Amino acid sequence: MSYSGLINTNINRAFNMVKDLAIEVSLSKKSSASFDFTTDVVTTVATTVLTKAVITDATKTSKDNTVIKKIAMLNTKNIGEISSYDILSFDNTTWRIGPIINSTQFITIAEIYKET
Amino acid sequence: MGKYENLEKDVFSIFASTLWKNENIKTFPVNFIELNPGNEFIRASVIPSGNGINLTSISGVLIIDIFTSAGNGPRKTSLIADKLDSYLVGKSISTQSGNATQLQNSSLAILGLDKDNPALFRASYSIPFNYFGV
Repeated sequence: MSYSGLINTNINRAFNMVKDLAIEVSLSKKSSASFDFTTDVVTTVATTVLTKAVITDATKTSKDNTVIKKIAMLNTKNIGEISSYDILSFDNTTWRIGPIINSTQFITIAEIYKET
Repeated sequence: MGKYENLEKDVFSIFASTLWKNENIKTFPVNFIELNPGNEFIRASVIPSGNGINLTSISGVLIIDIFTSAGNGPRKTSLIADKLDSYLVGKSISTQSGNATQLQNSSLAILGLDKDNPALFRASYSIPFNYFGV
């Protein structure tokens, strides 16, 4: 087995070993987007990926405590590249992808945001 | 419609035109994320930050960021700016009856490598405007 395959296998194992700390999430990924200057409408095409994520560090970021920020750690191989267009859903709530803290070929760590 | 929406429609009508589309310069508005913008594109921001001559008028500046490949010299930037000039400088645009957006003369500021993507060279094309409503 290649080293990258070995690492991916162990990342999957790690996500399983942390049990309920890794939760099932749905990632809606925009694969294309276009803007129509005539109608002022943005058209996007999305695909949905089901995967596991470790969600940590819930903090409230605005002065009036209406914005919640969390950190999501995901398996890069499962999700591919993500952008600010993408939406992460879990526990019946939707979160917008914020800045990517770190993204390697194995693990992606991103800030996610939602209004309370 | 209000003056801000009318103003935006006037300016965007240029980029919606078939003539501009045939120039094959990828054009995006501010607050839009293009997933695959490539190495050559422009991004338009309408900034209605000045006073108007009456309550239905306003002035401001149209700022267009020009992105080209880094390391290839400034010529492409100049060519795109000249192309923008031919569509904008001195033009009067009206998409609504009785309203008009008048564009003045342009200027170009070279900003160097883009801080988010150093593979891109960035310049800022700006042109003041006056919008007159009814």
